[in-house]
Amino acid sequence: MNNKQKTINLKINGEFYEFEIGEKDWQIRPHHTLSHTLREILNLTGTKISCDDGACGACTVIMDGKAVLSCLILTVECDGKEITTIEGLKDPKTGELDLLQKKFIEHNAFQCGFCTPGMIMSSKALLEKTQHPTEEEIKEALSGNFCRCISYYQVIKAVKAALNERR
Amino acid sequence: MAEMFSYIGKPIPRKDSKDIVTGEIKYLDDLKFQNLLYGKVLRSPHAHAKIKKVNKEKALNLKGVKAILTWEDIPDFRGGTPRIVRVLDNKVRYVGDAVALVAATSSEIAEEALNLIEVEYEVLPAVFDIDSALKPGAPALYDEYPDNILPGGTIIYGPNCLKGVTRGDVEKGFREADVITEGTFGYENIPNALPPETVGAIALWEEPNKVTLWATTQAPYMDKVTLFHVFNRQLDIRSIGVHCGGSFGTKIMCWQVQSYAILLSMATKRPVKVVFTKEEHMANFTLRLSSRINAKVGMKKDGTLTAISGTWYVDTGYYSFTTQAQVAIGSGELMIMAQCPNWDLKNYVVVTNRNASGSIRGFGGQELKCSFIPLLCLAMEKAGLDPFEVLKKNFVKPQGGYYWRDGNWYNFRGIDFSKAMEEGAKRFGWKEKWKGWLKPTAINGNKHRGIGVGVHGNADIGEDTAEAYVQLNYNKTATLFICAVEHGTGQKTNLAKMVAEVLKIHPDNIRLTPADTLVTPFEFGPVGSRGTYAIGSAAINAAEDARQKLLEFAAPKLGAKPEELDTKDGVIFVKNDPKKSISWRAIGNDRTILGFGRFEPDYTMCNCMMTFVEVEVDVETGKIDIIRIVNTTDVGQVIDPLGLEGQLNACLGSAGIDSAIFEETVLDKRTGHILNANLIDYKWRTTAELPEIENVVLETPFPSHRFHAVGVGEIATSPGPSAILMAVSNAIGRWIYEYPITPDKILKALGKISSNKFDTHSNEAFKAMGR
Amino acid sequence: MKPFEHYNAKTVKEAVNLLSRYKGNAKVNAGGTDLISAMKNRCLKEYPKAIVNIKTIPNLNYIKTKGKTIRIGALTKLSDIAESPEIKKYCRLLSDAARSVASPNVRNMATIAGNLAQDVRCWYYRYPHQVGGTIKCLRKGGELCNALLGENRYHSIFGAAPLENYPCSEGCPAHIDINIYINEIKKGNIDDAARTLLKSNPLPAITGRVCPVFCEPKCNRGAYDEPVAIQCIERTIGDLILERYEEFYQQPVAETGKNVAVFGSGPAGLSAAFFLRRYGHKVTIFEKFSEPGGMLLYSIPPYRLPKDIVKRQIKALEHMGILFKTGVEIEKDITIQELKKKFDAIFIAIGTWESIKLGVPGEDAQGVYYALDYLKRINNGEDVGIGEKVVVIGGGSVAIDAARTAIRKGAKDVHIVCLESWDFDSKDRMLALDDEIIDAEEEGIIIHPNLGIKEILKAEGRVKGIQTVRCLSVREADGTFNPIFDESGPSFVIEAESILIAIGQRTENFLYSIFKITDDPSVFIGGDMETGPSTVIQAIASGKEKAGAINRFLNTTEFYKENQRIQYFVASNFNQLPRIKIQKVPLKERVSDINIEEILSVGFDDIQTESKRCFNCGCLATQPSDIAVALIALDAVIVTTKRRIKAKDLFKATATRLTNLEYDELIKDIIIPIPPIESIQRYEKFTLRKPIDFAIASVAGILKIENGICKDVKIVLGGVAPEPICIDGIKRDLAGKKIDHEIAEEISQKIFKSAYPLSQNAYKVQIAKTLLKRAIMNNP
Repeated sequence: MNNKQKTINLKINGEFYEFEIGEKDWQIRPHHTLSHTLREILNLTGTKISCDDGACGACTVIMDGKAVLSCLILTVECDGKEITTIEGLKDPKTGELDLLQKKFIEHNAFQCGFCTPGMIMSSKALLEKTQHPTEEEIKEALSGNFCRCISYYQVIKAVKAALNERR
Repeated sequence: MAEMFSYIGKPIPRKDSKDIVTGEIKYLDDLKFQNLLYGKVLRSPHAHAKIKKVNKEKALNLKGVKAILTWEDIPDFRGGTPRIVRVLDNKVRYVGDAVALVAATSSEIAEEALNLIEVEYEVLPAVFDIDSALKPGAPALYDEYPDNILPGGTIIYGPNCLKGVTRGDVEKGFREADVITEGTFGYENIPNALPPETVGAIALWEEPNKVTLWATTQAPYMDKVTLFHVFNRQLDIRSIGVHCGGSFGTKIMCWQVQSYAILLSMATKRPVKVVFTKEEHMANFTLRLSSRINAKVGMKKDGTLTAISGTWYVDTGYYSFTTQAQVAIGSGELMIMAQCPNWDLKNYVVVTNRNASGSIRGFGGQELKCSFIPLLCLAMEKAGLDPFEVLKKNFVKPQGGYYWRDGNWYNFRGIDFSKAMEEGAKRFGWKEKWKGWLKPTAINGNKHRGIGVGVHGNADIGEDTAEAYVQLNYNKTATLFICAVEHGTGQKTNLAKMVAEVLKIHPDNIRLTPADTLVTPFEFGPVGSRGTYAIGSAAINAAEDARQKLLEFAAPKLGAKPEELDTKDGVIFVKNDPKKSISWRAIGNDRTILGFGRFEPDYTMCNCMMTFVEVEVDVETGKIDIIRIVNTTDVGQVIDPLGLEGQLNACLGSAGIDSAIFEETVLDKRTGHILNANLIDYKWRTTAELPEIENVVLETPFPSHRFHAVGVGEIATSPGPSAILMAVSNAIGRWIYEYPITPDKILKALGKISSNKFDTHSNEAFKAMGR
Repeated sequence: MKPFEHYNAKTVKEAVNLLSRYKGNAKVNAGGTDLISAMKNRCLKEYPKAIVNIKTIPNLNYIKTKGKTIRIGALTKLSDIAESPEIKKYCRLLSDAARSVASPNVRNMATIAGNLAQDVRCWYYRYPHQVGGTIKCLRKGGELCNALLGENRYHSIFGAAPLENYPCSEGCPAHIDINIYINEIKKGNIDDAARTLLKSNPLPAITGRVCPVFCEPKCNRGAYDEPVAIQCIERTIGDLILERYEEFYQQPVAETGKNVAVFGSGPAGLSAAFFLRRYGHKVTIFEKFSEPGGMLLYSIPPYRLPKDIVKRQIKALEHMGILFKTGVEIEKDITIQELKKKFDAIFIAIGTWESIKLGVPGEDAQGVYYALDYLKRINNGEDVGIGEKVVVIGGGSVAIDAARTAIRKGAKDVHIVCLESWDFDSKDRMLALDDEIIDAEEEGIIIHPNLGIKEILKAEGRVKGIQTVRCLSVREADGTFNPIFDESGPSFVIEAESILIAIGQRTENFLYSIFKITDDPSVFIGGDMETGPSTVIQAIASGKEKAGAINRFLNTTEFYKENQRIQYFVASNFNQLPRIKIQKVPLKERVSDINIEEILSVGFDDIQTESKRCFNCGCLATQPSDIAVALIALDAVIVTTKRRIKAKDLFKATATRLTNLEYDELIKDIIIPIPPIESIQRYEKFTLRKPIDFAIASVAGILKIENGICKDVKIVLGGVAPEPICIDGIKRDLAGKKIDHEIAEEISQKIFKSAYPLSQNAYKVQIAKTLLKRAIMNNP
């Protein structure tokens, strides 16, 4: 029985990647987390590592439509998954920012900015999933994205503004 | 009312905003280096021990390990105040103290190497709090200070650094008092500011004595100064600031991790990155000071303070870096909020075998006030006075004054904050809600509501020096050379706005150099809300100097005197005849115009923040919900309205208000382990439970700089905790003195925890076992 | 993270095969949030060799309504459960529980099975290795739950999860279930305590008196103040058992028809006989002396172990149906070959009765006795005249017994001379127990340590005294007996009228032939005969072990089942209660008569107080699964790869495991009977803040109320104990009653009467009480 996979296929921000699994520097090792692969192999450093422990949400990415924590997912588990990171939100051709990104800027919905990519990814997943979330639902959906500067109020305003503009 | 400005006070997007929302901004850990090595720290499992032997052989044999350093491998480099803390020592003083440093080709290998280092310890008895540290015969952390008390004062505040407050005649003061209260009150839950980005540094050594340092910091220039002394004044350091993922005052204390990176780079001649994990950040990096006062206050029936005396005990953990400075500032800040003719306030800085406390938003003042206001509450209750009125009355007014950090007396030349306080009270509805001491404002079944108020002010807004250059370019842009990193306040954009306002060009046309000590002049760092006034002044002065030089340069070309000229949108023109003008292009691409600005410290003004809170307490479970917060302040002139709002909302973050509800570092006093070094067990507010916040901001011009503004960012966290204590006490009708007010404390105060017949032991008893 | 092997399983079978291949060294990743974090922090007892990811198994992610049940696939995400319209409609409390887990992004990853199987959230257990080394807790091979003495604000209020091995019980050669019987005493169940004690120790009244007490030094309480006085408790219970022996030593429920002979009626023989009889075998004990009891009767003097106790003990065993035949000496009166014809198995435990000779000149003098013979004769009621000046040679318990017996028999000047040292910490320490030495000295016996005997001096064939020599060292570093004497050093004489030699004993020489037949599978040897002279409790342990071996040899069904060692929710006591003071008969009185028992028994009140000093060592971490609490309330059935198990039976915590899932057993499916649509469903979780936190206390409840009268109710509490607590009696108390504040108060008082909070978590009682009351009242 040989259940060990040799390669991992991922679609990240619209691009297809095939990774080998192995011990070489350029290969994916079983203990590499998705956040590690994104940051260290693909140089997608917009995905942040803060607690690295599944609590703070700084490493949030969207996987198959759901906001998940890339620090607690092993890359080797992700074969065939479609992943969007903060770098994948703007229009790849025009460079135009996503509506949420624009609203975050407009409302100054960040201070130090470290939690912002995760916060935006969770907001993005919510907006994709729910047409008309209430303020309570927004707060609930973002409750796993910790911000120590307390930009929460401005984040909620920004998400609401994006909702309004979308309507 | 405020002047009309083009950029000041306008909600202009931050310069870094696009890079922030796209994830493109680079924080330290995002930087890429060729040939990079990863550094890790082996940490002590004992709270107090001598290192008898270290065997690194096995670890050195691990493939990929490039260097292992212990105290035996490095010179006697020291930091701290006083400078007694070795970078690596043969003694460990808290659980997590550094024992060895490893550099390896990956962080996993470095981590594995840590597990292969064998250390033999001789375990020593340890002390974990003020009482045990001061007990006669207590084990001493440092041979130099056998009584575990560090000397007062800090060199950077000068020879007369404020070491306590002595003024007037306290005996007389107490005789004049109508009410006197005394007691012991503390703020000892050592919460952690916990910026989301952990702390770290990357160092690249260059023979013979040069090092380039990239670090998580809010004050890159001061890192250069600090490290210069740590490395026995033999190191030429180029310090480069990187976009900072939050600091809240803490990241000015990164000298240890910076030293680790430097030492490992010295040993390997390769760039070395040391970035703490969140667990290390929480267990092995700075906490708030643990503060306790044993004090007495005298007050007249009308709320006039007549005397304050007592002792302030500050537990700084295993060493001090800024603690004496915090004591100096905290003492001055108490004088600002408690104008009183007679003082005798002493202090002791005590070392204990736990992780160090130090610089953090509120810098000593928050700690002291959280300890002092409960004492004042008892006096106000005794005199039957409304705390809002008493706090308003006793806050410094024009003609008032205070001692400040250098030991000098300063007559206050700022504004009267009463107006802002009144406005805040009005918006909060204080007068309608206040029902008297220990009286809830409303009861709905098991939910009891109560209100409280706190106040804080800081004369640090004009502290320390700052320098800047402004360079004007022929393409109608300007460059601001300043050693400033962005750590969340929007200060870089704000500085650009100020320069833009002076030069009358759009802030988009102002570029800032990186915070690189090789490029910029000295700047102390954005601490104590000094960004707006002190740093701002340097930028403004540099811009004004550049503008003056520009006009002088243009004057002959326009056949006018410089004072007859003005510039706007990159055009210099004659004020009376704007058609007579030349473009900045006239500067030519073979020339720049450089202005220099410097700010000299000014302690004659302070800022002020009053915070009103309403809480709801479930008296059956002890759960507290903060219902509403009203912050009120007067900033002279708003620079960045959205940024300011963020700063004020931050009262809920970074070891602020929630240090009264659930934020605390849990130290196991049996063994010295910090037990909640993770973001599940450390409680930090999320969007799920956001109270309503209203920020009242008045703009009464300050005699600060040409924009009449002062900063308030630092102090947003400070008035809240004691206000919560007051509000909860009022809600449940019993005094609560201890932070944080977790449900057990409420239920205990309400007599709802039946004394447990099977268990009456205290931690003290077990501590005595020494197990 | 450290490297590991990784597998993406495609089928359940593949996953199970992988798990069994790794024999417990592989971990299942069913959501991973908990596991990956534990691996990063290196806080697991053993870092897994492999991870078997089961999220790649298809068709385990579903929520199906089928008739009167809802079925949920093991890999269904918590976010899907929280949002499922069916679950919201029929099992509201489950969707509320699912929504209360962690944070939304975690719920997008975490599965229901992962949640059920998640590890504890104790800050000692999870202490991150990188910040100061791992904290060793009971889950990781430590000796004590740190929450017992440290910060325990989030820990259990209902007791501890039991250990696989308790330190006290581990210390005891017979592994007596000390913690269990002591807990019964705490609760006041003296009879249950007696039954428990008797299950692992057939002679508690005897060990309660003469055991060297291996358990107490291991007691964790010793680190706090003093160990629990286990022997004192055991003795009182032992006496009760003997007093009511007819109740406790009963005939077995069924006879196997097998016949076993036991030779020797010392502790090993009695112990073996007891257990063999309990298995249902017919047992006959043969004894060469005129009365059964062996060393208990003939070596241990009556002031330590009254003859009466031994006799009653024999009577008790007789009551079980054990036959005693005295005056029968093996190989002399009956040979093993003869026995073999009559019996299906034979157990020989005839002890060590031959004294070892000193081997010095003068040993043949008149007045030289061997201590064991002396004791045997005294205990047999003979009068042995040894005069007033006596020297005892030897440093063990027999030497002390002989010396103290001599004092009681009128000797005035008794000396003990031994090679060993007298220092308590020396490697050459005397073999006698500390208390024995102290008692002996108190009684005026003079001990001469570090002395060897050169010669026994005699005059006219009678003992005159001994010529001594200094002994420099007795044992080598590895414990080998190899005395070194200072032959050229000073030597002095101790005068004596008699000498009692007690330097060891062995099985009588002629009986060594017996050992030759141990190849015979029906013949078993045990006790001192096998091990050399040891202690009563070691002999009991040997008898017990051999009885088990004989039983297996006889290949019979076990009628008597070993006690299940799971023990739950008992009071622990952290008061600084002083250890009970052992009362002794005053010195003058006790030395006057050999038959006066020197130590007095204590009463039941006293042992109950003492038993409350027991920490009840166990793991105090609480069950972390929110879903577990909900599923138990819903009466769900969990389908695993090995069985169908009721949710309430899945969570049987021990200090090393939270569920009774085996390492290669996977949850596949969850079946929930849909509660009556009109029933009220509640799930309440109390935390300091809303997301992320684990429950400080939680309650899941289903109530059926008609016209204000409770028709049905089920309540489960979470966060308060090592497993969810299903309040069994609540239906009895509440059904048919009008739901009001009074009854809610009454019920909660009753339930939390058995809560025993620790130093910092008493508040949890009040919170859980409030949640419970609110659930009963259906109040917000």
